[in-house]
Amino acid sequence: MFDEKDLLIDARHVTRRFPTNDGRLLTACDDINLKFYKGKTLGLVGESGCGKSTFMRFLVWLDSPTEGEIFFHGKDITKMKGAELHENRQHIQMVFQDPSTSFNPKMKIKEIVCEPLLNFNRISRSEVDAKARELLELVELPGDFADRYPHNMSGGQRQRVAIARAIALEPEFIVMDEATSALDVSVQKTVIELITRLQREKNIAIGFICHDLGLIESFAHQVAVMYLGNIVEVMPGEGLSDVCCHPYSRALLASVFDTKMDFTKKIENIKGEPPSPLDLPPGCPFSNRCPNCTERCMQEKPKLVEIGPGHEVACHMFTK
Amino acid sequence: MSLLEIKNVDISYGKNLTVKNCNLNLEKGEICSIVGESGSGKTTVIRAVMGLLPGAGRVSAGDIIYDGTDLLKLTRKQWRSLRGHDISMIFQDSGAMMNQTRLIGDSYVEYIQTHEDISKQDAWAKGIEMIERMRLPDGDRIMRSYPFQLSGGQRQRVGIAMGMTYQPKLLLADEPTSALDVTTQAQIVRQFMELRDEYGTSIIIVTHNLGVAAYMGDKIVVMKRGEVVDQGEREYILHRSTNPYTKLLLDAVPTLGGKRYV
Amino acid sequence: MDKKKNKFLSNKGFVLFGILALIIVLVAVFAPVLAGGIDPTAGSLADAIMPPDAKHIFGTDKMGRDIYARVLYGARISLASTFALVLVIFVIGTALGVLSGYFGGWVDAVIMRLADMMIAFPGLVLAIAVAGMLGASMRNAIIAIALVTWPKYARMARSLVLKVRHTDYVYAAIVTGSSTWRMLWKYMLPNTITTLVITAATDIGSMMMELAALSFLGFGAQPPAPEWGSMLNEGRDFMQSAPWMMVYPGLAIFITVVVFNMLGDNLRDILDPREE
Repeated sequence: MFDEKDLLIDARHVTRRFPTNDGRLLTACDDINLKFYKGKTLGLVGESGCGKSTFMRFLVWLDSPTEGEIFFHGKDITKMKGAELHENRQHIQMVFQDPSTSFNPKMKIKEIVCEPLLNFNRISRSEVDAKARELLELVELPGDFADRYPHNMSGGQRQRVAIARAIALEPEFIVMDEATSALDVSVQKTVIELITRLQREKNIAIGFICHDLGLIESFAHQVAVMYLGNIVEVMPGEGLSDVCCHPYSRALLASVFDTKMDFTKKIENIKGEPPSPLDLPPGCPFSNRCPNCTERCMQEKPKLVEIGPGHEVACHMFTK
Repeated sequence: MSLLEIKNVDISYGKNLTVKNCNLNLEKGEICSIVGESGSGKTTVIRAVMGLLPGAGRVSAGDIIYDGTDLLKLTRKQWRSLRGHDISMIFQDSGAMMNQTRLIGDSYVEYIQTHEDISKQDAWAKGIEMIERMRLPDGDRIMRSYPFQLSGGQRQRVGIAMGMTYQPKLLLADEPTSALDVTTQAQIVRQFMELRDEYGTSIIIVTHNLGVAAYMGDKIVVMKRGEVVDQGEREYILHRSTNPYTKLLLDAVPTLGGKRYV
Repeated sequence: MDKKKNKFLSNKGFVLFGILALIIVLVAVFAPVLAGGIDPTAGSLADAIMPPDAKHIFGTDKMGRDIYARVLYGARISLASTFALVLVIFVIGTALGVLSGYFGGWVDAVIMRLADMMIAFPGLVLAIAVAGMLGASMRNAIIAIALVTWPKYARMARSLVLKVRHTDYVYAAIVTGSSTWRMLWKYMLPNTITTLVITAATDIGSMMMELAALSFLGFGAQPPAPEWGSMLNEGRDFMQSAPWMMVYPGLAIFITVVVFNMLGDNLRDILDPREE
């Protein structure tokens, strides 16, 4: 679906296990394979505990996988250390979910947005005021916000500051962890418009964690669905409601409440509860709740297989 | 006569007028969704109906009439018999409303025993029955659990079970699904719809999620900065309203198969 | 800046005890002047154990030395050594606590186990053991008490660091390329400073007592140094017959400790009023 020469980040067989106090293993991410392309947004969708945040944190070196490799410009970032790691941080940045906790309460806005630049000696202290204004303008905020403190601003304004901070170093890739979930819906719209505009202008690849399928469909080029640490489906963002086929993806879709939906439609519920991540079944993770579960599903874990352009699914129903 | 009438209500915290001239009517068996963004006052209104305004909050003007009774003139004693029996409230995180160091069963039994004079065993059995009616299997196991041992969805169902114990005529729900996963939210919304179908309960749900508000509400009330700016039947609000704020909100909500930015 | 000054100056207790503390410090500084030129270590046995009179307003001790002069010069030793002690504990404790809280893992484990070991010992007993091993002197008394008291500051610093260690803004600072040094200095340390400064201020009094106690027991200042604690010790045998030998050094300790305790209390009220 995308040009392979635009491949920016290639995650292969990434697994993360956490040992628990009683000696068991919690598998937060299981054999994740994902690709991120230049200037494109990949939406990572799933419910709490599916491992989406855990995975994305590997990309900004806030955690390392137990197994697997993540290639960025051909080099495995999971093995980077010291000066090499520091140098590469310039190319991958992050926007956090909660605008009320993303900033040091004792720092002014101008110090916040210029901190990355000072860390890499891209500007001198005397240039902070001017550069801060420039960055604020990029995110459509008035220049005199530079002297304010974060708590004197609204949630939407703070999230714009977070975006300004993330683009300060002109990174190639930005992780956005539910970057609009804490915002009012009208504000969310303007922030998404800002993000997509910046993406177009600066050709930034984005990994966007989200739980709102309707939202992600509106601006992601590709969407990956995660369930209990596994990627169960990867599909094109546009028109995903039509092509989406994994039973869990369809269940997620069916759970979306929409102002344009059919209100007479009765809500279908997925039966059962998800198994404990400490005690995953041997086969497909969705086997105990899937309406189409077979013997094979319970024994053999399905692999992600390509079934169309830009469309992969991990389900025995679609692979023969 | 409507089941609930909120007439020209002003709500103030000390000298600050936070809700202005709120008007809302709810009929028996009707579901009304109050939507709005942060600061709209929607939670304040619903708490005023329940008589639960925190701190210096009070209804400074207007009337709230429930089934012919003026709620603003009730004594504490009268409120105690009304809450739970006639009007119940479900919060965003029912789990946090319970004592984390006590078994759910103990909290539930205590709740029941404040409303009627029955033995602990009978109250326990009643608790199990209500929990199972809310589609939580193995009610006894739930009763014997601590709140933190249950998932968010399970805790909300327990909260609903407790609220519905005496089959109140009016259920007030304050962002009951906002803290839940998408699939769990769907389950809880379905649960609420069934409450109306099986018990004829009237529901007011406060939410910032327009999709949920539209699905659940026969009637939708739109609030902005303390005022009701638009209200009407669902069909009207979604398709025929000319109110600019309503249209702005509807336009901003992402819909499947809707507008794309890329 | 003006708002800050007003915060301090408007607290009457702080001003009062601040002035008193300043007076005590000045007494120490100007001891030679205030003593009227009398040498605190000089005395003849002929003048031994004389009650207070015009010539020796606090009387003399068993070596014939003027107690008044000794009390004045004693302020120097007590204040200097106490401030040195508190400073050492503050710096070491805070540094180890911040490192422990920030890095976690084995760094945290090692530092905290060391701290646990030190806390497991009764403070004074360990201090005596150390002083006994290293030899009795004021310097070694300071080392001994510091060894036993740093864990308190380290634990406090560590828990203050842990409160912010896993916030989004700390992660954001790391992701945007902040060096470890910057994280420690600009993000972790500022969260600990206020509380630890208050602790240090309120500890001045008790640290002074500890040093005096060690000296009293013979493990701190050595004769003929005019240290209040050892003066108490020297006056012990004469408690009934020549009470002035203990009374005046005792009063000096009492007043100084109270003044610094109250100063610390008021400082806490200013910097951390929610504690009420």
